Amino acid sequence: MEATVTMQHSTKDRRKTQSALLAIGVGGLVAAALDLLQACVLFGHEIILVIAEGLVGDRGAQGGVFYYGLGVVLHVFIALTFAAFYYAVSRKLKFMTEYPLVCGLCYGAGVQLVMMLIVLPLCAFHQRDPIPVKGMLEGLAIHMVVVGLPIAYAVRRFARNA
Amino acid sequence: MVEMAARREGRTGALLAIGVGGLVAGGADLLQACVQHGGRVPLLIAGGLLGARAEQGGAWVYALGVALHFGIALTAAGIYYAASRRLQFMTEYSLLSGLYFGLSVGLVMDLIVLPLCALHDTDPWPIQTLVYGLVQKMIVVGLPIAYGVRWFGGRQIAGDVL
Repeated sequence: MEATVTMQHSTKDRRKTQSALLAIGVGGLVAAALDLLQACVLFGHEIILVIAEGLVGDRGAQGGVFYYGLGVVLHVFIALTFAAFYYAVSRKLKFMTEYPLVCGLCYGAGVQLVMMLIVLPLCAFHQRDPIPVKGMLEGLAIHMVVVGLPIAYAVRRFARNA
Repeated sequence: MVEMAARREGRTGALLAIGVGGLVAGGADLLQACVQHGGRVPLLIAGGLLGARAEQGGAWVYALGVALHFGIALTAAGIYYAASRRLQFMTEYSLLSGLYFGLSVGLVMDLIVLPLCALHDTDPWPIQTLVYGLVQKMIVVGLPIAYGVRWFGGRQIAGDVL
């Protein structure tokens, strides 16, 4: 009897882990792909080297397959981290799965603010320049849609609520 | 009869919530702005409507600045109240919603209102200034409005004010 209950629990836990990985994976990868696509369209593919510069500094600007690969990996890692954070918080705050449109848009704006105001100044990129109003508005609008919405809807669609 | 009384009660609650939230937020925000930037802040606010003429000063320009400031704060409180009738989590999670709302108010003011009003402030934002401004708005604007609506806004059922 006890063994059956334990097995049921472990099956439930495994399913929960699988659904969490699926939600984070789908949300993070779709957000990363859309965000990288729009960034490459807007700023050219050199933007991938700029991402790599966040970790390796000026060396990233040399280019080459390694730094392009590093840039893409870093970008996807950041997107997956943000998706995992959304998933983790949504386990406590149920409204994040009930209202994916509102919460996704708000979350996308939050991601943009964290990246622009905290990550970019603190990483090896050392962003210190004042932020243009137009650039900030465009960045907020774009990230609300291409980052916030995929993550919020993936968590709603794939994550188990139990 | 009961419905009419409930509606009247709802309207009173709405006015009280918006009034208390808006006035406390407006008062706290104006106070911190005056402490930080001096007593000429109301003239700057009036400059948003009058342009350079506001710099001449005078009692009515000061009064106009203060009235505009409180008008904006009450409008923000009105928007929060209206949204909270549909999104119940805004009254259930006042701390989180209030902080995010204050952040949004700061962004809307800095990135949309200031460039479009008579001040035409389109200068790029230094990162530190933007961060300080947003944190202040989160606390002195977002929280009073969110808690004002939570404490005085009455309860809502299926989107209706009761």
